[in-house]
Amino acid sequence: MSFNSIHFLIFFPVVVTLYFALPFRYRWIWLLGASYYFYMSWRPEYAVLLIISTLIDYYAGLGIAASRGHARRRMFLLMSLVTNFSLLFVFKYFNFFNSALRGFFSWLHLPYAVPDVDVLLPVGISFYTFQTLSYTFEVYLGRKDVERHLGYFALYVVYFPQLVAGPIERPQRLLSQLKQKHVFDYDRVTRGLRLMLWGMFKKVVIADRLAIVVNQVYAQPADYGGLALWIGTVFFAFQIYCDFSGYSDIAIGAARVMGIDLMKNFDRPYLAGSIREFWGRWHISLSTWFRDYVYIPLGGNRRGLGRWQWNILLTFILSGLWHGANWTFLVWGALHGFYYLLFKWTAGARSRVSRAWRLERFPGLRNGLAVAVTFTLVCLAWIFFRANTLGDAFVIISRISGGLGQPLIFDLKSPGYIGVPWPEFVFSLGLILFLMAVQVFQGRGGLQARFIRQPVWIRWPVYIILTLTIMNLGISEEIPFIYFQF
Amino acid sequence: MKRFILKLFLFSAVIVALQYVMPLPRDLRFKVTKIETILRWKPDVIYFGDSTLNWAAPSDPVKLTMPELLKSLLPGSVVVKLVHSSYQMAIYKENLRFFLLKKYYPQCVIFPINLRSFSPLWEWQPLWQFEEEVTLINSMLEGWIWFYKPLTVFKLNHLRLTGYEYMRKKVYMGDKEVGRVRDFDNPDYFTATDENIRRQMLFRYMYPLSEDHRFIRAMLDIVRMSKAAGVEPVFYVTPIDYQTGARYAGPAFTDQVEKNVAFIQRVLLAEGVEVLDLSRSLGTQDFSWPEDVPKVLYPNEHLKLRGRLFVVKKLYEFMRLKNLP
Repeated sequence: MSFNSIHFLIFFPVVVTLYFALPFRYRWIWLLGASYYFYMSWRPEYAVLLIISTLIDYYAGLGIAASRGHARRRMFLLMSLVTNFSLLFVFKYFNFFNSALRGFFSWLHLPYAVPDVDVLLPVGISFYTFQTLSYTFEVYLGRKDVERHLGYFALYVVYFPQLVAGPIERPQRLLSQLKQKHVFDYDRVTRGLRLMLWGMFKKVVIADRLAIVVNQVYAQPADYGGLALWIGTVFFAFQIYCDFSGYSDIAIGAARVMGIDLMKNFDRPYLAGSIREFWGRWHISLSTWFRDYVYIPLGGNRRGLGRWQWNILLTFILSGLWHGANWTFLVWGALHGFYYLLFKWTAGARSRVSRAWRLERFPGLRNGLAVAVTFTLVCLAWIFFRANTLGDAFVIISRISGGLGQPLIFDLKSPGYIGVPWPEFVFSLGLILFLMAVQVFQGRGGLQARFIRQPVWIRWPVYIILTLTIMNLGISEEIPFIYFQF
Repeated sequence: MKRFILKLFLFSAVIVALQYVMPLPRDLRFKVTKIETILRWKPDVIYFGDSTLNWAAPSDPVKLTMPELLKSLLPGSVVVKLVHSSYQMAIYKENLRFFLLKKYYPQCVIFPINLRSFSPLWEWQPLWQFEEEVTLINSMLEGWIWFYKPLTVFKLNHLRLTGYEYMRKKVYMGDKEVGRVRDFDNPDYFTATDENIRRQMLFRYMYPLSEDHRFIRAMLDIVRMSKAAGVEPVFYVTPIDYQTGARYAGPAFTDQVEKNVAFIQRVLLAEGVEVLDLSRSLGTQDFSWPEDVPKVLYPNEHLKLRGRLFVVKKLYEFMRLKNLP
C-alpha cells in the first residue's frame, strides 16, 4: 500500500483509532497485524521473506546472547548475515551478476547457460534487511540487550510507517519506543499530521510533477540538447529529494501520531557546502548504517591514509550497489566516493584560493559558491543514478558538456518535446524555488516553531491551501515512490 | 481527543465545501468538455477511433481525414469523431454507456476494429488502459465529479495491470507461447531490423482470439446495449498492412489474421451483427507509415488519401445497406 493512495487514507485512521482505543497489552498485536496487512497489500507471498528475516534475526540474537565463546557468537552473526544477504542476492542481485557473467563468458567465446530468475523485487527488501541486520549487529557488539519477545521483535522489523522505504531504524531507538505506552497527545498528533501533509505535498505536487519532464528526457536522451538534459537532471535532483524526503516525512509523521519518534532522514541536503556535509544530510539513516557497520569495521580512518581512502571508496560503492543491481548505481556510488576524497585532497588548495580571492570577507558568497559546486557535482552523479544505462549516462554527459544546444520545446507534436507545456514548466520551476525558499528559512531556525505559534487564522489557511493543492494540483499518474524499488 | 475530533471534523467540512467551489483542473476540464460537447451536439453518427481518424500522410494532396470524408458522403447528417490515443473497445463501451444513460441515442455508432488492439501491447500497455477515463465517466454519471481529481491523485483509478505485470504478460503466436511482452516491447526494437519487424508483426497481430478476451466481451456488451437502446452499431475491421506482415512473418501471418477476423465475425454474427472486413483490402502503398515524420519503424494503420477514400467508401456502402443514417 502506498502512502498516496485511498487505501492508506482509510487504513491509517482506522489503525490509529484502534491503536489508542485498545488496551496497551494488545497494541503490539494490532500494530503487527496492521503492518503485515500494509505489506501484504502489494504481494502477499513476499510476507514469507519478512517472516524468514524476522525469525532468523530473532534466533540469531538469542543465540548470540546465550553464547559465551567469541566463535559461537560469530557463528550466529554469520548465520544471520548469510541468510539475509542470500535472500537479498537472489531477489535483487542475481540477475545482475548473472548477466555480467554471461557477458564475460561470451567475451571468452565460452558457453554459459545459467538462466535469469524471473522474480519481482520484494518492495523494501533492502530497507527491512538492513534494519533487521542492525539489530543483530548491535546485539553482537553488546550495545543492545537481546529482545526475547518475538512479537515486539517482529514489530520492530515490520513497523509499517518505515517498513518499505525507511528511515532504517536502530533497535535501541525503535524497540524501546514500541514497548512504551503512548497516550493520545493532541500536540504530538497535530505535529505528526502536519509533517504528513508536508510530505504528501512534496510527493504528489512537486516530485510527481517534476517526474513528467524527467521521464520524458531520460527515456530518449539522444533526442535532447544540453539545456533540456540539464533541466531534466536538475528536475530529477529535486524529484528524488521530494519523493524520498516526502516519504520519510509521511513515515515520521505517521509514527509520531502514534507516539513514536523515528530518526530524521533528510536535513536540507541541497544546501550542503561539501560532499561530506551532503552525506550528513541525505538519507541519514542509510549513511549512518554504512558508517557504523561497514566503514568503521573496515578500520575507518584509523589505519593510514591509503586504507582510509580505500574504505571510503568501498563504502560508497557498496552504498551505490545497495540502491540497485545496475552498473549505473555502482558508478554513482563510486563517483560520490571519489568526490568525497576529492574534497579532502583539495582542501588546502581550496582554502588558498579562498584566501587569494579574499572570500573570507564574504562568507555568504563563499558558502553560496560551495553550495553551488556541491549541488553541481551531486547533479552530475544523479545522471548515473537516473539513466537507464551507462551508455545513456555518457550520452547525457557528452551533450551537457557540448553546450546548451536547441532551446526547450513545449510543443507536444515536435521532436524534442520536453514533456509539459510551458505554463506547467514555469509552475514546476516555481515549486522548486518555493521549496528552496522554505529550506533557507528552515535553516535560519525555527520556521516550524514560529509557524506553530501563529494564530489559527494564519495556520488554518495554510493547511487548507496545502490540502487543496494536493487534491487539485497533485499528479494523478501512477508514479511509485522511487525508493520502493530498492 | 474530543477537541481533536471536533477540529478534524471542522477542517474536513471546510475542505469538502471548498472543493465544491474549486474550478475543475485544466486537464480534467478538457476531458469533460470532450464528452459533454458530444452530448450537447447530439450528432447522428459517432465515429470512434484513434489517431488514424485524424491522419493525413505528408504526401497527400488533400488532407481530409476519414470522418471528414464520411461527412461529405452524408451531407444531411452530423458526424462526430471520438478519438482516443489508441483503439480500445472497452473505453468505447464506457463512452457509449455514458451517452445512453444520458438519454442520447445516436442513429449509428461506428466502431472500427483494429486487429492490433487485441494484442497485449494495446490491451495492457499502462498508457492505453484508460482506467482514468472510466472513473471520470462514472464520476460524471454518479455526480461526484468535483472529487474526481482528488480521488485520482490518491489512485482511485488503479491500472488494471501495472507496467511490471504488463511486461510479464505472455505473448502467443497462434496457440504457441513465444515469450513475454518484455521480449518484444523494449529498447532493442528502436532499430527495425528484418528480424525485429518479423517479431513485431508476430507480437501485434498473431495472437489467438477467444471469447474470454475483454475486448471481445466489450464488443458483445456494446451490441447488447445498442440494441436495447435502438442504436445501430457499425463494426468494421480496419485495413492492416498484411503485405508487410506476410513478407516478414510468412504465410502464417495471413492465416492467423484470417482466423482472428473470422472469429470476430462469428461472435458478432451470433448477436445478429454483421462485420465489414477490410483487414486485407489495402496494399503497403496505401499506408502512410513508410513516409511518416517522425519516422515510424513498424507498420501501423495510418492511411494515405487513397486508402482513406477506399475505407470511407466501403463504410458508406455498408451503412447504406443498413439504411444508415
